[in-house]
Amino acid sequence: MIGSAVRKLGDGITGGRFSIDDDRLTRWTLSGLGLVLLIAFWEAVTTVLSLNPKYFPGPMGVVNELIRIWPAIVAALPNTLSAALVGYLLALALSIVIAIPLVASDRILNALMPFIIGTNTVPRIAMTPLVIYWVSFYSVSMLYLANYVMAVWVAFFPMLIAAIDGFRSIDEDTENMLEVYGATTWQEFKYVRFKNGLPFIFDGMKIGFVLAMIGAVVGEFVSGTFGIGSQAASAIGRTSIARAFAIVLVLGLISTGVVLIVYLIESKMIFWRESSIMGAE
Amino acid sequence: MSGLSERQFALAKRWIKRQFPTLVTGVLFIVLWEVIARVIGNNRIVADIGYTVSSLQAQADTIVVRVSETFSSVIVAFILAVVLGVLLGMVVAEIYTLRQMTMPLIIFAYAVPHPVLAPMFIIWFLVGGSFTLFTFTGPSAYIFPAMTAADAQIAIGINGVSTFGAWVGFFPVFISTITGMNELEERYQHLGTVLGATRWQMVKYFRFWRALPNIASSIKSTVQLSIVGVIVAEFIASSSGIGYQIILAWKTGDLGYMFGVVLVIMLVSYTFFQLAVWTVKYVTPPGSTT
Repeated sequence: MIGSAVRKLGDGITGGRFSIDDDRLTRWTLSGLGLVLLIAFWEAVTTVLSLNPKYFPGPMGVVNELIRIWPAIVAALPNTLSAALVGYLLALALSIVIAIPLVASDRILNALMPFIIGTNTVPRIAMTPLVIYWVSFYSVSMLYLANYVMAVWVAFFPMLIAAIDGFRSIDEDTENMLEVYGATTWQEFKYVRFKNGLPFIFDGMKIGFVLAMIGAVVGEFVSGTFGIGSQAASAIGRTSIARAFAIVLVLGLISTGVVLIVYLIESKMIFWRESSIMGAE
Repeated sequence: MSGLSERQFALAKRWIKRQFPTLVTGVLFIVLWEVIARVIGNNRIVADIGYTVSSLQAQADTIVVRVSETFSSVIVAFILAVVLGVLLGMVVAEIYTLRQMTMPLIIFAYAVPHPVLAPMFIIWFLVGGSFTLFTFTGPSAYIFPAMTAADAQIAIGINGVSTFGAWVGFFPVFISTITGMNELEERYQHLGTVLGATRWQMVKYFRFWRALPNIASSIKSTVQLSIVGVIVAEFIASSSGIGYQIILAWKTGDLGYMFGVVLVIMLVSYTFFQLAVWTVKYVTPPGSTT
C-alpha cells in the first residue's frame, strides 16, 4: 500500500521541469511538423523525379482535383453519410438492446455465443452482392437501402461483442455484493453493469463507425448507387489517382472527425479510466 | 488406444466438448436455412440447400480455382502485413520523435474506411504492372482430371489485390507492436541500464520480446482483415478470385451459385482463421496470448 502511494508521488515529481502543458505543446508541435514535412517531402519527390501527375500526383495536384470535383462530392456525400450514420446508430442501439438479455441469461448466451463469434470471424462484407440482390428483388428504385443494411450488418457484430464483454466485466466482489443485497437483474444493470460496460461500448463505438462507413462504401462500390463509394470506383475507369486520393482525403477526414468526437465524449464521460483514440479491433 | 496416451485422450475429449456448441450451431443454421427456403418456396428469393449444392457442383472446378487464387493473395497479403507491421512498428515505437510526428497520419489511416483506398492500389498496379514471384500448379489440377495444368496455375505475386489486403491487415500488427514495445516493465528497463545495454540491445533482448504476445494476439485481426481486404479489392478490381465470382453471380441473377460462393467463402475463411489461431497458439508459450 505505502509502496504504491510513494511510487505515485514519485511519478508526480519526476515530471520535474516539464509540466503537462509543456509536454502537450511539444507533442502538438511535433505532430504538425510531421505533417508539414510529409507534404513537403511528397511534393519534392513528385517534382524532382518529375513523375507523371496522372499516376503520382503531388499534394497540389490532389488539392486541385479536390476543388474540381468538390460539387460532385458534396452532392454524393449525404447519401453515403446518411447510410453510414443511420446504419451506425441502428447497429449501436441493436447491439446494446440485444446484449442485455444475453448477459442476463447465461443459457441464452452460451447457446448463441458460437454463432456470434463465428459470424464475427467470417468476412461479412462478402454478403454485399447478396444483400443488394435481395433489396433489388424488393424494389429496384430503392437500391440504396442495401447500403444501410450493409452498414448495420458490418458494424453490428463487433459492437455486440464489445457490449457483451462490457456488461460481463464485473469483478467477483461486486458480484457477491449484488448477490448479498439480492439485487434484481434490472438493478444489476442499472447500478453496476451499464457503468462498467461503458469503456468497452465506447471502444466498440469507435471501430463501429469506421465499420459502418466501410459497409456503406462497399455497398456503393458494388451496387453503383450514387454516393462516395461509386465515385471512388469510377476513378479506376479514369485511372485518376488524384481523384481517388481526393475522395480518400474527404472520407478519411470525416471519419477521423467522428472517431475524435466519440473519443472526446468518452474521455469526458469515463473519468475513471484513460481512453485511447483507437478502439480495439 | 495404441499410441494415444491418457493425456492426449483427455485433451481430445476436451477439444470435442469445446467444439460441441459450434457444431450444434452449424446444424441449427443448416436446418433453419432449409426451413426458411421451404417456407418461401422460391429459389429466386432464397435458394434451398439442394439447389445451392447442385449449382456449386456444376461449377466446382471454377470455384476451386478461384478460391485458391483468392487465398494465395490472402497469404501474400498476410505475410506482407505482418512483416511490414512489425518492422515499421518497431521503428516508430523506438523513436519517440518519429512517433509523435506520424501520430496524425496513423490516426487518419486508422479511421479512414479502407475500401475507399482500394482504387488507388488497383490503379497503381494497373499502370505499373504487377510482378509475379513464382507460379505453381494449383490444387484444382489434381482434383479435376479434366483440367489442364495451365488452367490451374496459380501465381504468387505482388499485385493490387494482395497489397491492398496487406494494407488493410497491417494496422492491428503495427499498433500492437508499438503498444507492446512501450509497455516494457520499468524493472527490465533498469536492468538493461545497469547492464549497460545499448539501444539496439534493449530492442533485441527486451522490448521485442515484450511486444511478442501483443503481436501474436493481433494476428487474429490481421487474418480476418487481410481476407476482407482481398475480397473487397476483388469486388471492384479484378476479374479473378472468388470476390469476382460473387459479383458475376449477382449480375446473372444466379442465386444458387451466389449462396454457394458466399458459403464457401465463409467456410474457407473460418478454417483459415482457426488454422492461424491454432498456429499462433502452438508456437507461442502457453498463456502468453489472450
